[in-house]
Amino acid sequence: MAVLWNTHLTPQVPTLFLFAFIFSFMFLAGCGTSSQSWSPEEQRQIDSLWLGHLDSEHTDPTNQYSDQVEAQIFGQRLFFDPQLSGNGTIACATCHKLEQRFADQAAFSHAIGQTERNTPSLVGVAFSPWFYWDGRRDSLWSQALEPIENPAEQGNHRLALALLMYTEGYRDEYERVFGHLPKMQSELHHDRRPPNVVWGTLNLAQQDDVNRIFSNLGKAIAAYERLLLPGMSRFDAYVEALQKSHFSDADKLLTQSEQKGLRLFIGEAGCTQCHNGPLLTNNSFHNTGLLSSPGKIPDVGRVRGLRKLLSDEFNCLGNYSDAPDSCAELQFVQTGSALLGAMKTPSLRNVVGTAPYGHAGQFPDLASVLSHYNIAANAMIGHNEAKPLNLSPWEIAQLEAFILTLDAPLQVAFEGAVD
Amino acid sequence: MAILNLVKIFGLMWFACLGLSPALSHAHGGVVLEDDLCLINIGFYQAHFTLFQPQRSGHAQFCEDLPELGETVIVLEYLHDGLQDLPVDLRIIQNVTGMGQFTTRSDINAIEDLENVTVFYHPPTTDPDVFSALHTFSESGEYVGIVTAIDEANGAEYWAVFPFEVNIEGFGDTAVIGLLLVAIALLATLVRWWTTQAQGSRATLKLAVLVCTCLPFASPQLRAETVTASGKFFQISVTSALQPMSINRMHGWTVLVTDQKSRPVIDASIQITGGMPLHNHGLPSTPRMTQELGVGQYLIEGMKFHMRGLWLIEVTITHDEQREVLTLNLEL
Repeated sequence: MAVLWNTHLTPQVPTLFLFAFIFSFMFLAGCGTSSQSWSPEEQRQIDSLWLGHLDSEHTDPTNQYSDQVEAQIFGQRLFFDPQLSGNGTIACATCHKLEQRFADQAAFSHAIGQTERNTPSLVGVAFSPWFYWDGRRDSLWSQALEPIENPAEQGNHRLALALLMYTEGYRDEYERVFGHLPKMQSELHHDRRPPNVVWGTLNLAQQDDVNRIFSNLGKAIAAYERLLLPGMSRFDAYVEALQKSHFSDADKLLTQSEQKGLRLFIGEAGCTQCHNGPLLTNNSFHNTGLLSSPGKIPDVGRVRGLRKLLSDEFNCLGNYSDAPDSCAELQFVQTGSALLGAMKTPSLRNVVGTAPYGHAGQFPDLASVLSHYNIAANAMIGHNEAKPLNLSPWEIAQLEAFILTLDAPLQVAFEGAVD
Repeated sequence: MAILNLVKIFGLMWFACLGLSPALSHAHGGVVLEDDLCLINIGFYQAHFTLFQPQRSGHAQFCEDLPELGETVIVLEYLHDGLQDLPVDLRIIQNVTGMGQFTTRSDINAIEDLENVTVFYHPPTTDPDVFSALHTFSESGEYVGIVTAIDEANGAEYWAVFPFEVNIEGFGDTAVIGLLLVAIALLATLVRWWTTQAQGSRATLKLAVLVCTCLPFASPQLRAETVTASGKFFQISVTSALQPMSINRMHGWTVLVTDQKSRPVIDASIQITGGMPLHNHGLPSTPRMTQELGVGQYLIEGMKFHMRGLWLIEVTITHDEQREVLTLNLEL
């Protein structure tokens, strides 16, 4: 079916597009935008982006500790703890910086080595069925495990981490959440060989014990990360004013230019095709023709991420998942060549202060992102799903102005979550 | 010089003609122009060969003339199933054959020391997705790309040889040839378009068939709780477990299949595919029938939509010897 839709546009479409462009330009130039001018359909679309629609009942059944306060507190400690890394200097928070919306401002982050992709913000991350730009993990807890063992990130080994939990200062806190640690051979604690070498000498039951401890640490970190939620933005206040038909209040909340940007966002610019819902992402994968960055070949994205996901021992169907019967996303996952070069749609709620943008930090600012979509040139690999917008410079500026209204401080869900 | 230009022009026209005749282009190993992309034939396999210089010229793609020196991304996209299972290697050599754009495999075979003229070599790799490599050209000149795919099962070795130039002076000649090439490409596109109109390309034809045959059975249904469609053999009535239907949520559908006399159809099998015709993409999941619920009802799990707008969902019903595709128009 994907092939079926992969037909060229008919010759009439550019003409139609041109007419639509001219018509909308005349419309926009001819009259100002105010909060009273939204059609019922536009109101419905605007309302669908309201943060108040974020599913407060959302949970992760594969992590039974998701909503336990002890797990959240332990997870917070682990998140900021450099002892989790091989050289004792890198924590999750080294790249997911608290003061930068749990992202950083580098195209590629520097941990033990350099990351392969841009560090995304963690704000609102728990609501996605997929993690990483290529979705190679399908739960927040399994995602949290990978950087710990990635040689370029925290460069540690699950065995070293499991053994760390037996030490004073960790054991009590671990056991308070997950119960007693399994008995481990005492010589393991004194083995001076590299952990990957020792790992090879363990029997399956011992490896399973280690994997259980390792996955529990991921579950604690995820329990903390689930609390990192975006707060209500100026845009959300605008939607609330619209909901109450307080139009004059609404007009004070967003400027004319920002409202015009919103009109483009939900209309002509087609941004809500991917940036939809209260977090302004459909959490799906799209090839939008981003260029490769210097010294790198084009990133194949989701096609490879999917293969990794399907063979991941920590996926939803694996032994360490607490609900292998809740894996519809994995069991009915999209496959096929349309995923070549596709990356996960990022949320637009955390864009201020998290530049550069793109999976390889290709765009230094929002204007360059919008300019990329305005042109929508051919992709280096696969097919660019985006179509040229052909917006004028002032319309691009209006779109940018609107996106900035989504800026808000973090919503702190429990005291002490963000020190 | 004039003679050389004439030869070049004829050569390019010949390449363009290859683009017009897929059957002919199949018979050779080399680069042909088709739809502005460079198509190479590796044995009977085809791949798109493109060069990018993203830091210098963004998305511009090249295959015969690379305008500048510097970091270049080489992309080989496989157009046939099969090639992704074979080890493929890429060698780029300085073109010392003196044959320019007409270099063939036998000219390459005549080179005594291939290693000595090799500027880049990517060892055999089996990549299921795409072959890409990075090379920094530091000298202007004529080059030849050589792609080799080895089929270990039958010992066959497939070759493609494609000459190209990097940062060659003489903009005047290039401009004239470029204009001619554009004219030829335009003509070719026009002819192809006419041909396509007459015969119907597979994709267009399929879409046309879909629209023509299915739309009469499936009028636009806006956010209905139950969506129905009717065909020659079967009628279906689809109810979503997610009410109202919304985006970004995995959910199930119950499909009631009846025959034309409204009797439930037992032991049918159902396949579901779909996509958004306006956005050229399919579903964000792979739904399938997981259970027969009885009395002609079937459970489809794994339905998901990730955008608002018009979705066309194709429901294929197979029962005994009968098979029918019904299409649902779904406006979300």
